[in-house]
Amino acid sequence: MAGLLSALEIGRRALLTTQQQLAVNGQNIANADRVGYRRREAVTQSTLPIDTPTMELGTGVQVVNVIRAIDQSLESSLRQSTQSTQYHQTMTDVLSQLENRLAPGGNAALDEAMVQFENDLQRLTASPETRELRLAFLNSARSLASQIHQDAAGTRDLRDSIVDANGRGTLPDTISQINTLSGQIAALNGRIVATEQSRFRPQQANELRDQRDELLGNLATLTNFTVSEQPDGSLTLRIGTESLVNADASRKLALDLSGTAPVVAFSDNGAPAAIDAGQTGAMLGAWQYLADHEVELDVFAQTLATETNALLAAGFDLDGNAGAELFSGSGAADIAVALNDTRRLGLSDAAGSSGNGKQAAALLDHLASPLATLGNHSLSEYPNAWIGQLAGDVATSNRAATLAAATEAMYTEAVASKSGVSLDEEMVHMLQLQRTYQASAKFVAAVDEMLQQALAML
Amino acid sequence: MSNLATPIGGPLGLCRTMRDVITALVDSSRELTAALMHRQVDACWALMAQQEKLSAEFHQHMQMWQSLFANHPAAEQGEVVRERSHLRESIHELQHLARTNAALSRGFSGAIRRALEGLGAAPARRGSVYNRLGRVPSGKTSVLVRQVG
Repeated sequence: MAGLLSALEIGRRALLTTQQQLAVNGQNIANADRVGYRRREAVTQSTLPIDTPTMELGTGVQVVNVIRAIDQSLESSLRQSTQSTQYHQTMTDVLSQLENRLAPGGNAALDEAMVQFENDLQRLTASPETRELRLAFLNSARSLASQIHQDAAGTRDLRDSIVDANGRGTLPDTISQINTLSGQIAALNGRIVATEQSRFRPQQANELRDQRDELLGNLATLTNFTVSEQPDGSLTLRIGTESLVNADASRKLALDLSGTAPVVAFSDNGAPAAIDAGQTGAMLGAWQYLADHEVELDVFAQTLATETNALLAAGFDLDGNAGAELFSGSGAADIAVALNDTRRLGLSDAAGSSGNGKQAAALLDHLASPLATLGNHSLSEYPNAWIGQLAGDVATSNRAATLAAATEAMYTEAVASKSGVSLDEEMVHMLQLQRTYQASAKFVAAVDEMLQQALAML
Repeated sequence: MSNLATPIGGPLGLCRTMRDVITALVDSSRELTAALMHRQVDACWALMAQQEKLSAEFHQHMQMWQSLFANHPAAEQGEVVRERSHLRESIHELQHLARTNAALSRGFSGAIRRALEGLGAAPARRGSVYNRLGRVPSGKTSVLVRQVG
């Protein structure tokens, strides 16, 4: 009877194991459409055999664990490519917005205003005493100043949309999201450790791990970080060398606006967070790019005013007096045309020779001369050169974004092939098993019948 | 002169040959048990094919025994009787294993059917059958997987 009981026990265990494996199959199929779900695999193991005097008898099989089909290195690569994609896409988005503001429809408004200013000055060199031409020159100077204002305001608005002086904008929102996510990851760390290290019934916390991986994926869209798993199942997240999440504790990030540029730092010790990827990294980079452009626009406006005023003041007006200054202001924000009387334009290089227009020609030449303050660009070519640089940066960023997105898609596919659920495969496997068991039952019954006959013959 | 391809060695030799085949079947059945439990589909089919071959061989020997020695006095001699007794014991063991395997297979098959039903599979009726009197309802069903979602 011991043999029969042993066989029954083997059968009971085997059936139980099969039911557990099928439950895992069922869970995979039921969760096939759920984002973030990783395919489960039942790990089976033969139970301890019994030693008999003649042989070792098997005692069956059991499910010892249900694990997630996951490749940590692939997951890590996917997160890194997500960080890179988000960085380049956000950067491209901001730079494209700037390009659309400064050069709507591909026409750089500041360059066009500069060309008009030079054309009107060119006409004055031939007939400097013509009132209509002097008036047209003053108007084009006003248009140029106005365009500088618009460009400066547009750039500042875009920069303020990232973060303004009062700490409002998309960057603070992103920091807030990072804090929320890191807090949730820390909480899940605690629950996973509690489940997997339980003294009473330790088990793999697959659902919680899925949730944590999903949060890691979301966090990767916002910032760069590295992940290391501890022996107890918790994850340690670091930005640079500073830990963001450690076990069930997370550290908050805060935006420091006290300096010339916004800095993301840890709120507990003020250590700067080395964020250079994800949406946050892109916003910090884009903010600096826009701030640099504002400075360059300031330098351009200041140089334009200084150089033009100096040359016109050195010339003589229609009444033989020293010419008046054309522009007022000290930068892009306040540059304006100070002169209203067209007679006061100092376009002649000699008193009493108001018709020679040589000072206007000198100013025209000077506008085309390279200046060290503008990086060896001339005032006339600077707006066009700058917008060309911006267009180049947009194209470069766009190419990088496309490449990063392709890499991310490749890793997403690789992760899906490792961890995704194939409904067809799961169902086909189950049907194959069912057919095999049915065939086996019939076959064994036939063998049994033959053995009955054999016993009768013997 | 015998027209048999291989000498059978009389009733004792045939009994021993049959015992060898049964021993191979016993081993194969044990392996089938393990393969069934570990859901190794390919191994199951390979073992069933092996057992089919061994069974056919055994059946051939049984027919030979029946023809040659069933009513032969030599089959009742001491050594042959002992060998027949051993052979019966081996067959009993094989029967025990075979019945375990059959029970396991039926249990697994039922568990999978229930799991498939739980996942949305349902018995699908066959298409209507018509005869001269019109449509004939059929009680037979086949299991098809109904697509979910």
